[in-house]
Amino acid sequence: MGVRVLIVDDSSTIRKIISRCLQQSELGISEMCEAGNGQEALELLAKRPVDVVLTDINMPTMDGIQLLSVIKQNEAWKSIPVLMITTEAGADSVIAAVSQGAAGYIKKPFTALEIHDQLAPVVKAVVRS
Amino acid sequence: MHGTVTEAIERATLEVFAIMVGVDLVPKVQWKNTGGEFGSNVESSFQLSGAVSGTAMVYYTLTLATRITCQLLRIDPPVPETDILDAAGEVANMIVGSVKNLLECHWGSIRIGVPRVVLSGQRMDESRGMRVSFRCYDDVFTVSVVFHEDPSHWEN
Repeated sequence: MGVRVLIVDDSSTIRKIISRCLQQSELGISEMCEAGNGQEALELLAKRPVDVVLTDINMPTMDGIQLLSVIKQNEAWKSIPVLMITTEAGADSVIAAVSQGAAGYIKKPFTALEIHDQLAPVVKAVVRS
Repeated sequence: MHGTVTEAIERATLEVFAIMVGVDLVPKVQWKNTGGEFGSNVESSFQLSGAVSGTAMVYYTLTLATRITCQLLRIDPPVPETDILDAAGEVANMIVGSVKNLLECHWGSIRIGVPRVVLSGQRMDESRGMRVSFRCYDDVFTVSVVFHEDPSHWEN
């Protein structure tokens, strides 16, 4: 069975680029869904859980840090690995995310290889479990 | 100070275009700030606050913004205007984010506001600020930073 990934970013461009990277990654991603902010992401999760979440940090309505917090406090979702996507590696928001249980982060701008390398160990752990 | 900012602009822009757009740019080219009819340009602007206060802007022609969008999304024109504004804005967001990261090493924590991406035809205000223009394909675009206060006291 393949891996389901939720991509959360207010930029449709970034969502499409990440989707393309995942399709080409040979990581066994069987399904991708997209959300434009944290609130939309939670609505999607409630309908159908996923195996991995990739989320931007700065988004309107509900940002990535708030989304991470809600996921990690929810009994049904707290084991889902969440990777943050950000222009600000090393900044307070990234440190806060990692301390709240983010599985890692991807810095913009990113290459397809960087997406693959950050996601590979996470997907491997999901498949193993 | 001028050198610090223009170096940051150059470095950030070259990196974003090489990594995300897959295009090599020629930096520090001449740019004809002529403006044009409404809708001929795409302006992305960001408020900066914290250690510095100002506005960062990326200014493309619509033709170039369309071409960048097609390259990013691996599609052919025509492209919906919403997609062009989103793609151009996101590239600008990454450039300004990278400039911010580089300037923070010198001046401390800087915050970037919500981006404002619009079509316009106005000439860019060149009376203030620091800017670097880049050749991309057969077009030229500009990245600029304008500080709201005289930053001369920031230099050691």
